[in-house]
Amino acid sequence: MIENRRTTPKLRILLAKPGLDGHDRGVKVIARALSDAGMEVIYLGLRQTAKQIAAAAVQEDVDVVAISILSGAHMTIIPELLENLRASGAPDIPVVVGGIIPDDDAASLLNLGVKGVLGPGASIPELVAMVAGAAKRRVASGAAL
Amino acid sequence: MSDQIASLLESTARKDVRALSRLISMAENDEDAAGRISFLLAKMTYAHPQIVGVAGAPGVGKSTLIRSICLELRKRGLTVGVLAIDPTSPLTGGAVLGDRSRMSELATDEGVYIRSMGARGQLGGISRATRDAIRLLSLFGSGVIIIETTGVGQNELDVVNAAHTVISVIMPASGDSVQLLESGVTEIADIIVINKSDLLGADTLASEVRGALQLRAKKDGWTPPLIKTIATSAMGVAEIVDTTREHFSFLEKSGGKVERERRAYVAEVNLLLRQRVLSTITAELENGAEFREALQSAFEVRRSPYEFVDMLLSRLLARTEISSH
Repeated sequence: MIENRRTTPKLRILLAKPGLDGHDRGVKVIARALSDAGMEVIYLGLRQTAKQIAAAAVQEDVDVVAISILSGAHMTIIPELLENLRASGAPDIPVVVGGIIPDDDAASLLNLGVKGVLGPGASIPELVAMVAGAAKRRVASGAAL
Repeated sequence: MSDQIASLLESTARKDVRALSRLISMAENDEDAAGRISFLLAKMTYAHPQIVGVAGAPGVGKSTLIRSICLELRKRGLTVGVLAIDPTSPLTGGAVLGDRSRMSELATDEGVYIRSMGARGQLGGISRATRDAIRLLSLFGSGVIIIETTGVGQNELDVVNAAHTVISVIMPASGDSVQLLESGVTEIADIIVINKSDLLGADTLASEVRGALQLRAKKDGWTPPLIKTIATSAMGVAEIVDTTREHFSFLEKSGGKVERERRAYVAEVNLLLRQRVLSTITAELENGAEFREALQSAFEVRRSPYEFVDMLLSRLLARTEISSH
């Protein structure tokens, strides 16, 4: 791909693992998959706080915040993240979550405003479609402009 | 769009992080937007801080060193803007930008702004929009701007034409003394840092660098100091900050500052001109079946590629008025 066009828009995705979750093999696969789909993935790494993630989302002007969480702390951490994004003046940045999320919790997270939840067994194309879809809805709503 | 840009610029001058971030994205995504931003910026008054480039191969510790430099600058009461550039895949157009993961503890400090950027097709270690981002960070009021280059290849020379001060980072066990001559480290550096200097071989490397520096054609009256660091423990980092500030005062006194800013201006004009000509020609080529046919028949008769390009260019230039925009 020769990038000599005057317009080269790219989706920017913030990818992070919050809390004390210590497994990052899966999230690295995801970073690679989203990058292979042509996106710019800003990978924050392990043990991030909600405040750090929200601050990075604003500074990096991302289209989607994608959270990987396997520890079971999602019902504590995700609401905190949404609150921090609101407090940073960025309630419009969509959040999607992947990990070990029971169905009931997934429904609660979606109610809270999370734009997508994926569990074990989800395929890479599903993941890419979910992230791209969340970004697209934001652009369509005019929030990105 | 201009009204929106003007109001985002005003918000940026009032230290609105979202406005700054938005403008950097617009400049990255769209050359026309970048053009409008820089046109409006040229009419605004704001301070122009020192711009420091940090170059070096992958894994030498650039990000970790920048993290420690930021902490030191904050101790001294200065605010910092960091632009961390990573390679964009030429195959997919995607990128994994991971520099920020080594600077986590800076994330919640309002005096530090960090922005990760994909190189997006530029090979010189920084992206086209890096210079737009430098101007926007200056308007935002960053006290020092640090650019982390992609760290790929030996030709990160674009940073020399964007920064006041270039720090080359090297580490022990990464090559012999001939490599030092090859790689241009001693040519582009204003300050040379040997990171991971607790590793075996740091002293040998230091003496080799000193040797290479003696061979350097002295240009401007500044001999690049050699500083040994351990980025993870902040050893040597205060010395880097001191030396960086010293180099800036040296440039101000010697007239080198204006000279480097002129060089940066010329480099930016060059880059934009090349991009503009290239995109005009590419658009012309991609849209024309005529070109594909001409290419096919040139191939069939194995016509000289040089001759073919001469013919093509003269035809294109006759037809296309390169848009002055």
